Parts: sequence; structure tokens; C-alpha cells
Amino acid sequence: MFYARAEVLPMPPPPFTSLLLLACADGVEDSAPVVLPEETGTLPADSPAPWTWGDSGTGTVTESPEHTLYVIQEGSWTLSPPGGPYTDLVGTLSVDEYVDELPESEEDTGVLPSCSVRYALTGVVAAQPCDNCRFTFAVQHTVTSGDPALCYDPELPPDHAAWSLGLDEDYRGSEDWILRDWGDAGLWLPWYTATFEDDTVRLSWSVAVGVAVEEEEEE
Amino acid sequence: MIPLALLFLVNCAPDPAAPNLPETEAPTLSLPPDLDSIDFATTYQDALIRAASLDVRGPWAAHAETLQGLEAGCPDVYAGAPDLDSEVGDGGYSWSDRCSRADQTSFGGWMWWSNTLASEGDRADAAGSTVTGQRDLEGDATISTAAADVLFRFNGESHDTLSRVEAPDYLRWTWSSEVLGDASGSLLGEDWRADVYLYAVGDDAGASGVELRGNVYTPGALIAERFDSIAVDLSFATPETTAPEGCALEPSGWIAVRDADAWWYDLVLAPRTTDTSAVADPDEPWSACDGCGTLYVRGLPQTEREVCLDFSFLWDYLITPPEPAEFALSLRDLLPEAP
Repeated sequence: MFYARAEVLPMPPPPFTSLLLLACADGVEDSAPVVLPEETGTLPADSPAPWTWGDSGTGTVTESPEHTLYVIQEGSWTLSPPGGPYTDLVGTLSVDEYVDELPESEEDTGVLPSCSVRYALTGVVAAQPCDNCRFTFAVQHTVTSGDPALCYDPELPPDHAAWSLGLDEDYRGSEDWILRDWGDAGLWLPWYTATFEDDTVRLSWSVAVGVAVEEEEEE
Repeated sequence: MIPLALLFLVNCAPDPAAPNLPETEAPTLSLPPDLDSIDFATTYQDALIRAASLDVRGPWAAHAETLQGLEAGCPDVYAGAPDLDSEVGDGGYSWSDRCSRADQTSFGGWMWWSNTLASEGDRADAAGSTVTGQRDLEGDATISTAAADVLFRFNGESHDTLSRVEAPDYLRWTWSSEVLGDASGSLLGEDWRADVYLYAVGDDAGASGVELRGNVYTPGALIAERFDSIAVDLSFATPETTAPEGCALEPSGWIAVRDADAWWYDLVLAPRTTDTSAVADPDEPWSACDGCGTLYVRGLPQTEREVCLDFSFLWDYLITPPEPAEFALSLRDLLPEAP
């Protein structure tokens, strides 16, 4: 059977507790009903107990890292046309992360990185240059090996990311820095230290921070 | 077979041996003697402003301020959470330590943060751009000066998400913020304990729709020099965006304030559209769309004390979304001279 849309919904069957009350009605002494205050929905209950500020920062705290993460990022841009004004760039960026131990030299193959990513870079002049930059490029990052998602640094460019990067030669005490337009929000943050010479920019950034890693089970 | 209900009928017969209990009067609740002196309209307006102003930006900015001038080793910074047992999100950065910097600023506890901002398209183009940002801050930490003055203390978590679509002569944004915990310290401005959820949508003219719910406790800054707590569950839209069957004069829901005696003063406004009990009884005073609500004190209706507010203050840029740049907190900015 089909029903037309009704304005008034049918009443649901009374719950079992209602049945009990109805059944007992005749056995209750007649008396004036107690009038309770009207319900006010889901309003909060009184909470007279005074709340006290918690003594934060006193719980279990890791006071020194058990493991150290070394993040090393290096790259270069080759600008063209030679001598400028520059309109394009090509380059590379390498990212290596090591836990607890760094290789002693480039030939040291005994220490493997926990994460290694290589990017190919291409760039054209950015539409929105940074104010104090000598030049600003929209740099396309293409992963040629590795996976940025496997690295600890949460600020690595994902594959195919286009970042606005500019060279500021007078940043914080006349240092050369590559600045990044963070999130394309117009906020230029220092991203790589840089040197600029002969149409080439060399950039690098490294840091050592703590890291929590799964301990290997001893056999 | 005897019906189950009939069995209970048999059991419910009066017991002649039962004692006759004396009749008792309905319990009564006393009301504050100075009820007439309370300016409820101003009180609820101030309460709404305070609750709507409590979002992620406060603790986020205060925490970021404490990290300026970060020294190597104080506090120790971690990629991701400081330990694998932390129930925080993936990625991000954190610090965990008990230490003092050279300037005697001391850090105790741990904080974890994560922030992303992604942009697609060009806002100068007709197709426009879409910006999506998210930030999370969790922890249990106290940062103090050498004189033991608390700069920032936080125990809890806070998150917000921003989506902004922008094109020439067009802006549309949505923003949700959630704070859960307690925070204090001079960098914060006002001490609070709160669980507040705020969701707002808007355009270049400001917010056009708001949902606000949760609880706020501000012991050091009483509202109307009397109320230390707010509880709220409201949703509201501007007249331009209110549905024809909606009410543009007042929010739906309720707001309550609590005084030092732990007495709650509730203002019940238009019923929620999902509140079927209200729909079933449209003659209830709080059902009317008139910019006025029904006051309840200790749960007792004060029908002779109707409280009316001009809620247009809600749209006077009280609720503004964060700028995308506010989502930034980069380790590179904190450690620009890292080796």
C-alpha cells in the first residue's frame, strides 16, 4: 500500500515504560500533580565544583632525543640567457636524510640514507616577484628518483610542485638566501642559503633534529 | 498466552500494607535577588563576542612567538612527534624538553604542530584560485620567563581549516576552527579553558553564516563582572542568505552564561529546524522569530523577562577568517642559520 505524504506523522508506539505507568494509574492515590520546571532542551547542568588550572608540562616528557635526523638538501640552478636578464632556469635538487650517522665522505657507502630524493628543476620568471629579490622564478619540481612522502621533512616539494623562489642578496646581514613564497600566500620565508656566481645559483640547507624511530628488535 | 502488559497490571495493584506518605510540596528554587539589575542583552552580546573570538589563532600565534630565537637544544626539536606513543597526527614538527635558554626563557613539556597551505590557479585569472590551509597544534607545555611569569601555557589541541576561492570581483571562503583545552599566559592575553567549534562561511563582505557551539571558561575576565562561563549552541545566517522559512532576526539555538554561584542563565532563541519538539509546538515563546529569546534562570522560565538583541553585530567583521599567510610556521624560519 502506498501512502500520500502526510502532514502529521503517525505516533510511534509508546515505549514499554509508558505501558507500566498507564497500567498503574488506577492504583495511585489521587493527588495534585507535581509541576516540574519546563524542559529547556540540551542546556548545561550546573557545575558548582570550581575548576582549577591544570599544571601543564609536568607529564611524561622526552627530554633529549634518542635519535638524530640529519636533513641535507643541496642543489643548483643554471640561469639563462647567460649574463641575464634571466628568463629561464634548469637545475637539480637532492634531498638526503640520515638517522644517527652521517657518511664520512661522498665515497662512504657504508651509511645509507633513510630517505633519498632527486628532483629535476625547471623554471620561468615568476608572475609575482619577491620585493627585494634579484630574480624570482616559478620553479617546477619533478621527482626523478625516490619518494618525498617517505622523508621526515614535512616541507619537501611534492612531485610536480611549482614553487615561487627568489634570490635575496641582502637577507639578514647581507647573506644570499633563496626565499620561498610560502603557500603562494605572499609570505617570503628563507628556504636555502645560496651563492650566485657565473649564471649559477648553488643552494643548500641542512638541519639536525630529533626523531622517534622504531627500535629494531634484538635477536 | 497472557499478554506481557497484563502481567504488570497484576503486579501494580495497590499494596494495603504500604504506609501513607505525607504529601510534600514541589521543590522550589530560589532566584538571585538582583536579577533585575542584570543587563542581559549586553551580557549575552559580550558572551557571544567572547565565544566567537576564541579560535586557533590565539594559541597558534602565542606558540609561534615562543619559538622565535630558537636555540639549538632548547627546546629539542623533532621531525614528527617526539615519541612514537604520541597520539598526534602524521608529519609536522614538535618540541619536547625541560630546559632554559640563554635568555632564561624556560620550556617544559611538549608541543606538536603541523601546517599546510596549498594554492591552485591564479586569482587574477577569471578561473580564479583556490587556497586550502590547515594547521594543527597539540601539546602540554609551559613556557616561562626567568621571573617565572608564564608566557604561554597550553594543554590540549586546536585545529583549523581554511578554504578560499578567489577571482576578480569574487571571494568565497569557509573556515572551521576547533579549540579543546586550556590556555593561559601573557602572550595569549586572556586565560581560558574551552571546547569551542566555529564554522563560518562568507565572502568579501564578511561572514554570512556561522555555527558556534561549545563551552568557554574565563575566570580572569568576567562578563558583566559576574559571569565566568559560557555555553553556546547557535547557528545564524545573514538576512541575504537566510532561507525563506528561516529567521533572519535571531540565531537558532541557545546561549547560556554562568555566575560564580554556578547558576546558569539560559537564553533560548529560535528552535533548531531539527528540533521536532519545537516544531510540534510553535506557540512556545522561543519559537517566535522576533530577535528575542526566552530567559531561563536555573532552568526556570522567566517569561516576564524577554531578552531582545540586535544580532547584526555578528556580521560587523566579528568573525573574519585567517589570512593564508597566518598558517605559516616553518622550521626554516625559526632556524635560518642552521649549519
